[in-house]
Amino acid sequence: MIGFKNVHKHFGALHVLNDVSFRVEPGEVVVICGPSGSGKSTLLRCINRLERIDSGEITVDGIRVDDATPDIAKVRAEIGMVFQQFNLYPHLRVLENLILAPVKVRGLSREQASGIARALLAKVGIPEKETSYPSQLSGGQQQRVAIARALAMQPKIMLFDEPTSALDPEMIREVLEVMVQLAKEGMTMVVVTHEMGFARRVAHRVVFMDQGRIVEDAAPEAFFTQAKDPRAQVFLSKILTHI
Amino acid sequence: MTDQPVDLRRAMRSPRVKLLIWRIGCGVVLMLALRAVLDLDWTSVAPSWLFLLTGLGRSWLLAIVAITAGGLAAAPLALARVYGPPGIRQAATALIECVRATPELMIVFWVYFTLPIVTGNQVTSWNAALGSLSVIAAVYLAEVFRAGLYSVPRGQSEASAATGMSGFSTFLYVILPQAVRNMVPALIAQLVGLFKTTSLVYAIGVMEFFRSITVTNNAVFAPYQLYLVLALGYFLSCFAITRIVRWYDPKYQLLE
Repeated sequence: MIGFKNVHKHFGALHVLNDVSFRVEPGEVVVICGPSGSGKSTLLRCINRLERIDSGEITVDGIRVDDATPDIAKVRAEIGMVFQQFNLYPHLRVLENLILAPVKVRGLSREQASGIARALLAKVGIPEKETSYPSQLSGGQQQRVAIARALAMQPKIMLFDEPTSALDPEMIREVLEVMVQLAKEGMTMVVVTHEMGFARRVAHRVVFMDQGRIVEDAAPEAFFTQAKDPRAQVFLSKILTHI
Repeated sequence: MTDQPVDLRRAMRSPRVKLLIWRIGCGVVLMLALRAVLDLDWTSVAPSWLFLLTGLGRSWLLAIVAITAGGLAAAPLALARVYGPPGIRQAATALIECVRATPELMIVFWVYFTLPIVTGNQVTSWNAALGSLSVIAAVYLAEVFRAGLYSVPRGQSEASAATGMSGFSTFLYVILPQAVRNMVPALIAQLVGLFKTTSLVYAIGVMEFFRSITVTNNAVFAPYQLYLVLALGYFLSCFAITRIVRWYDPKYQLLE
Protein backbone atom coordinates (compact mmCIF):
# COMPACT_ATOMS: atom_id res chain seq x y z
CA MET A 1 0.00 0.00 0.00
CA ILE A 2 2.82 2.37 0.92
CA GLY A 3 6.39 1.74 -0.16
CA PHE A 4 9.58 3.71 0.57
CA LYS A 5 12.72 2.82 -1.36
CA ASN A 6 16.07 4.34 -0.43
CA VAL A 7 14.54 7.69 0.47
CA HIS A 8 16.83 10.58 1.37
CA LYS A 9 15.90 14.05 2.50
CA HIS A 10 17.91 16.97 3.84
CA PHE A 11 16.89 20.12 5.67
CA GLY A 12 19.98 22.15 4.92
CA ALA A 13 22.86 20.30 6.55
CA LEU A 14 20.52 18.02 8.49
CA HIS A 15 20.02 14.57 6.99
CA VAL A 16 16.41 14.02 8.16
CA LEU A 17 15.74 10.87 6.17
CA ASN A 18 18.76 8.70 5.58
CA ASP A 19 18.20 5.79 3.21
CA VAL A 20 14.73 4.94 4.48
CA SER A 21 13.04 1.88 3.02
CA PHE A 22 9.89 0.33 4.42
CA ARG A 23 6.48 -0.97 3.43
CA VAL A 24 2.96 -0.79 4.81
CA GLU A 25 0.52 -3.47 3.70
CA PRO A 26 -3.25 -2.88 3.28
CA GLY A 27 -5.03 -3.05 6.64
CA GLU A 28 -1.82 -2.71 8.57
CA VAL A 29 -1.44 -0.37 11.56
CA VAL A 30 2.13 0.90 11.87
CA VAL A 31 3.29 3.03 14.78
CA ILE A 32 6.37 5.18 14.24
CA CYS A 33 8.25 6.35 17.31
CA GLY A 34 11.62 7.77 18.19
CA PRO A 35 13.27 10.72 19.87
CA SER A 36 12.35 14.22 18.71
CA GLY A 37 14.20 15.23 15.59
CA SER A 38 14.57 11.64 14.47
CA GLY A 39 12.63 12.28 11.24
CA LYS A 40 9.39 10.45 12.06
CA SER A 41 7.06 13.36 11.27
CA THR A 42 8.99 14.10 8.11
CA LEU A 43 8.65 10.50 7.01
CA LEU A 44 4.89 10.68 7.54
CA ARG A 45 4.59 13.99 5.69
CA CYS A 46 6.45 12.57 2.69
CA ILE A 47 3.69 10.00 2.16
CA ASN A 48 1.25 12.67 0.91
CA ARG A 49 4.04 14.93 -0.30
CA LEU A 50 3.64 17.69 2.25
CA GLU A 51 7.42 17.32 2.18
CA ARG A 52 9.46 16.74 -0.95
CA ILE A 53 12.25 14.18 -0.96
CA ASP A 54 15.73 14.56 -2.42
CA SER A 55 16.13 11.07 -3.80
CA GLY A 56 14.56 7.63 -3.66
CA GLU A 57 11.09 6.44 -4.46
CA ILE A 58 7.75 6.57 -2.66
CA THR A 59 4.67 4.77 -3.94
CA VAL A 60 1.15 4.87 -2.54
CA ASP A 61 -1.36 2.39 -3.87
CA GLY A 62 0.90 1.81 -6.85
CA ILE A 63 1.31 5.49 -7.72
CA ARG A 64 4.63 7.31 -7.45
CA VAL A 65 4.16 10.29 -5.12
CA ASP A 66 7.65 11.71 -5.25
CA ASP A 67 8.28 14.48 -7.74
CA ALA A 68 7.21 12.26 -10.64
CA THR A 69 3.45 12.52 -9.92
CA PRO A 70 1.73 15.28 -11.90
CA ASP A 71 -1.51 15.42 -9.91
CA ILE A 72 -0.77 14.90 -6.25
CA ALA A 73 -4.23 16.16 -5.24
CA LYS A 74 -5.82 12.93 -6.52
CA VAL A 75 -3.47 10.85 -4.38
CA ARG A 76 -4.00 13.07 -1.35
CA ALA A 77 -7.77 12.64 -1.64
CA GLU A 78 -7.24 8.94 -0.84
CA ILE A 79 -5.03 9.67 2.18
CA GLY A 80 -6.54 11.17 5.33
CA MET A 81 -4.28 13.12 7.63
CA VAL A 82 -4.62 14.18 11.26
CA PHE A 83 -2.28 16.82 12.66
CA GLN A 84 -0.89 17.51 16.11
CA GLN A 85 -2.47 21.00 16.12
CA PHE A 86 -5.82 19.77 14.65
CA ASN A 87 -5.74 22.49 11.94
CA LEU A 88 -9.52 22.73 11.77
CA TYR A 89 -10.85 25.64 9.74
CA PRO A 90 -11.73 28.22 12.41
CA HIS A 91 -14.10 30.20 10.16
CA LEU A 92 -16.30 27.19 9.39
CA ARG A 93 -18.72 25.30 11.59
CA VAL A 94 -17.95 21.66 12.40
CA LEU A 95 -20.23 20.23 9.70
CA GLU A 96 -18.81 22.63 7.10
CA ASN A 97 -15.30 21.58 8.10
CA LEU A 98 -16.28 18.01 7.27
CA ILE A 99 -18.07 18.57 3.97
CA LEU A 100 -15.74 21.12 2.35
CA ALA A 101 -13.42 18.63 0.63
CA PRO A 102 -16.11 16.01 -0.22
CA VAL A 103 -18.10 18.74 -1.99
CA LYS A 104 -15.20 20.55 -3.68
CA VAL A 105 -12.99 17.54 -4.48
CA ARG A 106 -15.35 14.56 -4.76
CA GLY A 107 -18.16 16.63 -6.22
CA LEU A 108 -20.78 15.32 -3.78
CA SER A 109 -23.91 17.36 -3.18
CA ARG A 110 -24.12 19.18 0.16
CA GLU A 111 -26.89 16.78 1.24
CA GLN A 112 -24.90 13.64 0.44
CA ALA A 113 -21.78 15.02 2.11
CA SER A 114 -23.75 16.17 5.15
CA GLY A 115 -25.22 12.68 5.54
CA ILE A 116 -21.77 11.11 5.57
CA ALA A 117 -20.48 13.86 7.87
CA ARG A 118 -23.27 13.38 10.42
CA ALA A 119 -22.65 9.66 10.52
CA LEU A 120 -18.97 10.30 11.15
CA LEU A 121 -19.65 12.83 13.91
CA ALA A 122 -21.81 10.22 15.58
CA LYS A 123 -19.01 7.70 15.16
CA VAL A 124 -16.46 9.95 16.88
CA GLY A 125 -18.99 10.63 19.62
CA ILE A 126 -19.94 14.29 19.10
CA PRO A 127 -23.08 14.34 16.94
CA GLU A 128 -24.42 17.36 18.86
CA LYS A 129 -21.55 19.67 17.85
CA GLU A 130 -22.21 20.02 14.13
CA THR A 131 -23.18 23.69 14.32
CA SER A 132 -20.36 24.69 16.70
CA TYR A 133 -17.26 26.55 15.66
CA PRO A 134 -13.95 24.78 16.39
CA SER A 135 -12.98 27.41 18.99
CA GLN A 136 -16.04 26.39 21.03
CA LEU A 137 -14.79 22.80 21.39
CA SER A 138 -12.29 21.20 23.77
CA GLY A 139 -8.99 19.95 22.39
CA GLY A 140 -10.14 16.35 22.42
CA GLN A 141 -13.35 17.25 20.62
CA GLN A 142 -11.42 19.26 18.03
CA GLN A 143 -9.11 16.35 17.33
CA ARG A 144 -12.07 14.00 16.95
CA VAL A 145 -13.62 16.45 14.47
CA ALA A 146 -10.27 16.50 12.65
CA ILE A 147 -10.35 12.69 12.41
CA ALA A 148 -13.93 12.84 11.13
CA ARG A 149 -12.91 15.48 8.58
CA ALA A 150 -10.19 13.19 7.25
CA LEU A 151 -12.58 10.21 7.18
CA ALA A 152 -15.22 12.24 5.31
CA MET A 153 -13.13 11.81 2.16
CA GLN A 154 -13.44 8.03 2.67
CA PRO A 155 -9.68 7.55 2.38
CA LYS A 156 -7.87 4.25 1.98
CA ILE A 157 -5.07 5.28 4.32
CA MET A 158 -5.02 7.42 7.47
CA LEU A 159 -1.91 9.26 8.65
CA PHE A 160 -1.66 10.56 12.22
CA ASP A 161 1.06 13.05 13.13
CA GLU A 162 1.34 13.01 16.95
CA PRO A 163 -2.44 13.28 17.29
CA THR A 164 -2.46 13.37 21.10
CA SER A 165 0.66 15.42 21.82
CA ALA A 166 -1.20 18.73 22.11
CA LEU A 167 -3.95 17.34 24.35
CA ASP A 168 -4.52 17.42 28.09
CA PRO A 169 -4.14 13.94 29.63
CA GLU A 170 -7.86 13.42 30.22
CA MET A 171 -8.61 14.08 26.56
CA ILE A 172 -6.00 11.74 25.12
CA ARG A 173 -8.17 8.74 25.90
CA GLU A 174 -11.22 9.85 23.94
CA VAL A 175 -9.06 10.41 20.86
CA LEU A 176 -7.23 7.11 21.21
CA GLU A 177 -10.55 5.26 21.55
CA VAL A 178 -11.60 6.58 18.14
CA MET A 179 -8.27 5.52 16.67
CA VAL A 180 -8.50 2.05 18.19
CA GLN A 181 -11.97 1.61 16.74
CA LEU A 182 -10.68 2.69 13.34
CA ALA A 183 -7.81 0.23 13.53
CA LYS A 184 -10.19 -2.59 14.42
CA GLU A 185 -12.28 -1.80 11.35
CA GLY A 186 -9.25 -2.59 9.24
CA MET A 187 -8.13 0.89 8.22
CA THR A 188 -4.57 1.15 6.97
CA MET A 189 -2.93 3.50 9.47
CA VAL A 190 0.48 5.07 9.95
CA VAL A 191 0.69 6.73 13.35
CA VAL A 192 3.51 8.85 14.72
CA THR A 193 2.99 8.75 18.48
CA HIS A 194 4.55 8.18 21.86
CA GLU A 195 1.42 6.41 23.11
CA MET A 196 2.98 3.01 23.65
CA GLY A 197 -0.26 1.67 25.12
CA PHE A 198 -1.91 2.33 21.79
CA ALA A 199 0.97 0.63 19.98
CA ARG A 200 0.66 -2.42 22.21
CA ARG A 201 -3.10 -2.66 21.74
CA VAL A 202 -3.56 -2.25 18.00
CA ALA A 203 -0.29 -1.86 16.11
CA HIS A 204 0.88 -4.65 13.84
CA ARG A 205 4.37 -3.19 13.71
CA VAL A 206 6.37 -0.61 15.58
CA VAL A 207 9.02 1.31 13.66
CA PHE A 208 11.70 3.06 15.67
CA MET A 209 13.65 5.91 14.08
CA ASP A 210 16.79 7.67 15.16
CA GLN A 211 18.81 10.32 13.30
CA GLY A 212 16.90 9.85 10.08
CA ARG A 213 17.22 6.07 9.97
CA ILE A 214 14.84 3.24 10.72
CA VAL A 215 16.72 1.26 13.36
CA GLU A 216 13.98 -1.12 14.50
CA ASP A 217 10.97 -2.52 12.68
CA ALA A 218 9.23 -5.22 14.71
CA ALA A 219 5.93 -6.51 16.08
CA PRO A 220 4.94 -4.59 19.26
CA GLU A 221 5.68 -7.42 21.74
CA ALA A 222 9.07 -8.09 20.21
CA PHE A 223 9.83 -4.37 20.16
CA PHE A 224 8.94 -3.78 23.79
CA THR A 225 10.61 -6.86 25.20
CA GLN A 226 13.63 -7.52 23.02
CA ALA A 227 14.60 -4.42 21.05
CA LYS A 228 17.99 -5.10 19.53
CA ASP A 229 19.29 -1.62 18.91
CA PRO A 230 20.79 0.08 21.99
CA ARG A 231 19.23 3.43 21.03
CA ALA A 232 15.80 1.83 21.00
CA GLN A 233 16.50 0.28 24.40
CA VAL A 234 17.46 3.69 25.84
CA PHE A 235 14.36 5.28 24.30
CA LEU A 236 12.11 2.55 25.69
CA SER A 237 13.60 2.74 29.16
CA LYS A 238 12.90 6.49 29.18
CA ILE A 239 9.43 6.40 27.74
CA LEU A 240 8.10 3.39 29.64
CA THR A 241 9.37 4.57 33.03
CA HIS A 242 8.97 8.31 32.80
CA ILE A 243 6.99 8.63 36.00
CA MET B 1 -40.61 45.06 45.48
CA THR B 2 -38.28 43.98 48.23
CA ASP B 3 -37.90 46.10 51.29
CA GLN B 4 -34.15 45.59 51.34
CA PRO B 5 -32.18 48.83 51.23
CA VAL B 6 -30.53 49.46 47.87
CA ASP B 7 -26.82 48.81 48.13
CA LEU B 8 -25.61 51.89 46.29
CA ARG B 9 -21.96 50.90 46.10
CA ARG B 10 -22.76 47.52 44.62
CA ALA B 11 -25.21 49.08 42.18
CA MET B 12 -22.53 51.51 41.00
CA ARG B 13 -20.34 48.59 40.06
CA SER B 14 -22.84 46.83 37.81
CA PRO B 15 -22.01 47.18 34.11
CA ARG B 16 -25.42 48.58 33.20
CA VAL B 17 -25.20 51.36 35.75
CA LYS B 18 -21.63 52.14 34.69
CA LEU B 19 -22.75 52.41 31.08
CA LEU B 20 -25.60 54.71 32.09
CA ILE B 21 -23.27 57.00 34.05
CA TRP B 22 -20.84 57.03 31.12
CA ARG B 23 -23.62 57.96 28.71
CA ILE B 24 -24.95 60.72 30.93
CA GLY B 25 -21.40 62.08 31.25
CA CYS B 26 -20.90 62.04 27.49
CA GLY B 27 -24.27 63.69 26.99
CA VAL B 28 -23.43 66.55 29.38
CA VAL B 29 -20.06 67.15 27.68
CA LEU B 30 -21.70 67.13 24.25
CA MET B 31 -24.39 69.60 25.37
CA LEU B 32 -21.74 71.96 26.74
CA ALA B 33 -19.72 71.67 23.53
CA LEU B 34 -22.79 72.29 21.40
CA ARG B 35 -23.66 75.30 23.52
CA ALA B 36 -20.15 76.72 23.03
CA VAL B 37 -20.33 76.10 19.29
CA LEU B 38 -23.73 77.75 18.94
CA ASP B 39 -22.52 80.75 20.93
CA LEU B 40 -19.93 81.42 18.24
CA ASP B 41 -20.72 83.96 15.56
CA TRP B 42 -21.61 81.95 12.45
CA THR B 43 -22.99 84.81 10.33
CA SER B 44 -19.86 85.18 8.22
CA VAL B 45 -19.44 81.45 7.64
CA ALA B 46 -23.05 80.33 7.14
CA PRO B 47 -23.45 81.52 3.51
CA SER B 48 -20.57 79.19 2.51
CA TRP B 49 -22.23 76.02 3.73
CA LEU B 50 -22.95 74.61 0.28
CA PHE B 51 -19.42 75.37 -0.87
CA LEU B 52 -17.99 73.56 2.16
CA LEU B 53 -20.34 70.62 1.77
CA THR B 54 -19.32 70.30 -1.89
CA GLY B 55 -15.69 70.23 -0.73
CA LEU B 56 -16.46 67.44 1.71
CA GLY B 57 -18.35 65.59 -1.02
CA ARG B 58 -15.31 65.88 -3.27
CA SER B 59 -13.11 64.46 -0.52
CA TRP B 60 -15.46 61.51 -0.23
CA LEU B 61 -15.49 61.01 -3.98
CA LEU B 62 -11.69 61.05 -4.06
CA ALA B 63 -11.55 58.55 -1.21
CA ILE B 64 -14.13 56.22 -2.71
CA VAL B 65 -12.54 56.20 -6.17
CA ALA B 66 -9.02 55.82 -4.74
CA ILE B 67 -10.04 53.00 -2.39
CA THR B 68 -12.00 51.18 -5.10
CA ALA B 69 -9.35 51.49 -7.81
CA GLY B 70 -6.55 51.01 -5.30
CA GLY B 71 -8.23 48.02 -3.73
CA LEU B 72 -8.73 46.38 -7.14
CA ALA B 73 -5.06 46.92 -7.94
CA ALA B 74 -3.93 45.93 -4.45
CA ALA B 75 -5.31 42.38 -4.68
CA PRO B 76 -3.15 41.27 -7.63
CA LEU B 77 -0.22 43.25 -6.22
CA ALA B 78 -0.43 41.41 -2.89
CA LEU B 79 -0.95 38.04 -4.62
CA ALA B 80 2.07 38.73 -6.83
CA ARG B 81 4.19 39.54 -3.80
CA VAL B 82 3.08 36.44 -1.86
CA TYR B 83 2.57 33.77 -4.52
CA GLY B 84 4.16 35.28 -7.62
CA PRO B 85 6.91 33.56 -9.59
CA PRO B 86 10.44 34.99 -9.31
CA GLY B 87 10.70 38.22 -11.24
CA ILE B 88 7.06 39.20 -10.86
CA ARG B 89 7.39 38.89 -7.10
CA GLN B 90 10.43 41.19 -7.03
CA ALA B 91 8.73 43.68 -9.34
CA ALA B 92 5.67 43.89 -7.08
CA THR B 93 7.88 44.21 -4.01
CA ALA B 94 9.93 46.99 -5.61
CA LEU B 95 6.84 48.95 -6.65
CA ILE B 96 5.24 48.65 -3.20
CA GLU B 97 8.41 49.57 -1.33
CA CYS B 98 9.23 52.54 -3.61
CA VAL B 99 5.81 54.12 -3.22
CA ARG B 100 5.65 53.40 0.51
CA ALA B 101 9.11 54.78 1.21
CA THR B 102 8.46 58.16 -0.44
CA PRO B 103 6.20 60.95 0.85
CA GLU B 104 2.64 60.74 -0.44
CA LEU B 105 2.82 64.39 -1.44
CA MET B 106 5.74 63.56 -3.72
CA ILE B 107 3.61 60.93 -5.50
CA VAL B 108 0.94 63.57 -6.03
CA PHE B 109 3.52 65.96 -7.51
CA TRP B 110 5.00 63.22 -9.64
CA VAL B 111 1.68 62.41 -11.24
CA TYR B 112 0.72 66.07 -11.68
CA PHE B 113 4.03 67.64 -12.77
CA THR B 114 6.45 64.93 -13.87
CA LEU B 115 4.19 62.47 -15.65
CA PRO B 116 2.99 65.05 -18.23
CA ILE B 117 6.63 65.76 -19.13
CA VAL B 118 7.25 62.06 -19.70
CA THR B 119 4.05 61.34 -21.62
CA GLY B 120 3.61 64.72 -23.26
CA ASN B 121 -0.08 64.92 -22.23
CA GLN B 122 -1.41 67.43 -19.75
CA VAL B 123 -3.22 66.04 -16.72
CA THR B 124 -5.98 67.95 -14.98
CA SER B 125 -5.46 68.41 -11.27
CA TRP B 126 -8.60 66.33 -10.58
CA ASN B 127 -7.33 63.39 -12.64
CA ALA B 128 -3.87 63.70 -11.14
CA ALA B 129 -5.49 63.61 -7.70
CA LEU B 130 -7.49 60.49 -8.55
CA GLY B 131 -4.46 58.81 -10.10
CA SER B 132 -1.98 59.55 -7.35
CA LEU B 133 -4.40 58.69 -4.54
CA SER B 134 -5.25 55.40 -6.26
CA VAL B 135 -1.57 54.49 -6.50
CA ILE B 136 -1.06 55.33 -2.83
CA ALA B 137 -4.15 53.34 -1.85
CA ALA B 138 -3.03 50.38 -3.97
CA VAL B 139 0.34 49.89 -2.29
CA TYR B 140 -0.87 50.48 1.26
CA LEU B 141 -3.85 48.17 0.80
CA ALA B 142 -1.60 45.59 -0.87
CA GLU B 143 0.42 45.44 2.31
CA VAL B 144 -2.74 45.06 4.40
CA PHE B 145 -3.84 42.17 2.14
CA ARG B 146 -0.40 40.58 2.34
CA ALA B 147 -0.38 40.78 6.12
CA GLY B 148 -3.82 39.16 6.10
CA LEU B 149 -2.61 36.30 3.90
CA TYR B 150 0.42 35.72 6.11
CA SER B 151 -1.74 35.76 9.24
CA VAL B 152 -3.29 32.42 8.27
CA PRO B 153 -1.15 29.62 9.76
CA ARG B 154 0.63 27.22 7.43
CA GLY B 155 -1.23 24.31 8.98
CA GLN B 156 -4.44 25.55 7.37
CA SER B 157 -3.18 25.19 3.81
CA GLU B 158 -1.54 21.87 4.71
CA ALA B 159 -4.76 20.51 6.17
CA SER B 160 -6.66 21.59 3.08
CA ALA B 161 -4.06 20.21 0.67
CA ALA B 162 -4.04 16.92 2.59
CA THR B 163 -7.74 16.42 1.79
CA GLY B 164 -6.99 16.73 -1.92
CA MET B 165 -8.14 20.33 -2.34
CA SER B 166 -6.47 22.16 -5.23
CA GLY B 167 -4.28 25.18 -4.56
CA PHE B 168 -7.00 27.46 -5.89
CA SER B 169 -9.79 25.91 -3.77
CA THR B 170 -7.56 26.04 -0.72
CA PHE B 171 -6.94 29.72 -1.32
CA LEU B 172 -10.58 30.53 -2.02
CA TYR B 173 -12.32 28.55 0.74
CA VAL B 174 -9.69 28.23 3.47
CA ILE B 175 -7.07 30.99 3.26
CA LEU B 176 -8.99 33.98 1.89
CA PRO B 177 -11.95 33.99 4.32
CA GLN B 178 -9.59 33.87 7.29
CA ALA B 179 -7.25 36.45 5.79
CA VAL B 180 -10.11 38.87 5.19
CA ARG B 181 -11.30 38.58 8.79
CA ASN B 182 -7.80 38.98 10.17
CA MET B 183 -7.10 42.06 8.11
CA VAL B 184 -10.11 44.06 9.33
CA PRO B 185 -8.34 46.06 12.09
CA ALA B 186 -5.45 47.00 9.79
CA LEU B 187 -7.92 47.74 7.01
CA ILE B 188 -9.84 50.21 9.18
CA ALA B 189 -6.62 51.98 10.13
CA GLN B 190 -5.51 52.15 6.51
CA LEU B 191 -8.85 53.39 5.11
CA VAL B 192 -9.03 56.11 7.75
CA GLY B 193 -5.47 57.07 6.87
CA LEU B 194 -6.35 57.16 3.18
CA PHE B 195 -9.33 59.43 3.79
CA LYS B 196 -7.07 61.89 5.56
CA THR B 197 -4.49 61.58 2.79
CA THR B 198 -7.03 62.98 0.31
CA SER B 199 -6.32 66.38 1.89
CA LEU B 200 -2.86 66.33 0.23
CA VAL B 201 -4.24 67.07 -3.24
CA TYR B 202 -5.03 70.47 -1.79
CA ALA B 203 -1.46 71.23 -2.92
CA ILE B 204 -2.26 70.85 -6.62
CA GLY B 205 -5.38 72.97 -6.42
CA VAL B 206 -8.20 70.42 -6.08
CA MET B 207 -11.03 72.06 -4.15
CA GLU B 208 -11.57 69.27 -1.64
CA PHE B 209 -12.67 69.76 1.95
CA PHE B 210 -9.39 71.03 3.36
CA ARG B 211 -8.85 73.53 0.56
CA SER B 212 -12.43 74.77 0.59
CA ILE B 213 -12.11 75.49 4.32
CA THR B 214 -8.88 77.36 3.76
CA VAL B 215 -10.28 79.36 0.85
CA THR B 216 -13.34 80.30 2.90
CA ASN B 217 -11.14 81.33 5.77
CA ASN B 218 -9.07 83.55 3.48
CA ALA B 219 -12.25 85.29 2.41
CA VAL B 220 -14.10 85.77 5.70
CA PHE B 221 -11.46 85.07 8.36
CA ALA B 222 -13.27 82.90 10.90
CA PRO B 223 -10.54 80.38 11.84
CA TYR B 224 -12.16 79.26 15.09
CA GLN B 225 -15.42 78.33 13.45
CA LEU B 226 -13.97 76.99 10.20
CA TYR B 227 -11.29 74.75 11.68
CA LEU B 228 -13.90 73.42 14.06
CA VAL B 229 -15.97 72.48 11.02
CA LEU B 230 -12.85 70.99 9.44
CA ALA B 231 -12.14 68.81 12.46
CA LEU B 232 -15.76 67.74 12.72
CA GLY B 233 -15.98 66.91 9.00
CA TYR B 234 -12.93 64.65 9.07
CA PHE B 235 -13.87 63.08 12.38
CA LEU B 236 -17.38 62.16 11.26
CA SER B 237 -16.09 60.82 7.93
CA CYS B 238 -13.41 58.64 9.50
CA PHE B 239 -15.80 57.47 12.20
CA ALA B 240 -18.28 56.48 9.49
CA ILE B 241 -15.59 54.48 7.66
CA THR B 242 -14.75 52.60 10.85
CA ARG B 243 -18.42 51.78 11.41
CA ILE B 244 -18.99 50.70 7.80
CA VAL B 245 -16.11 48.18 7.90
CA ARG B 246 -17.18 46.83 11.30
CA TRP B 247 -20.76 46.48 10.16
CA TYR B 248 -19.61 44.57 7.11
CA ASP B 249 -17.95 41.98 9.36
CA PRO B 250 -20.49 40.84 11.94
CA LYS B 251 -18.93 37.46 12.68
CA TYR B 252 -15.57 38.86 13.68
CA GLN B 253 -15.90 38.25 17.41
CA LEU B 254 -16.74 34.57 16.92
CA LEU B 255 -13.17 33.72 16.01
CA GLU B 256 -10.43 33.34 18.59
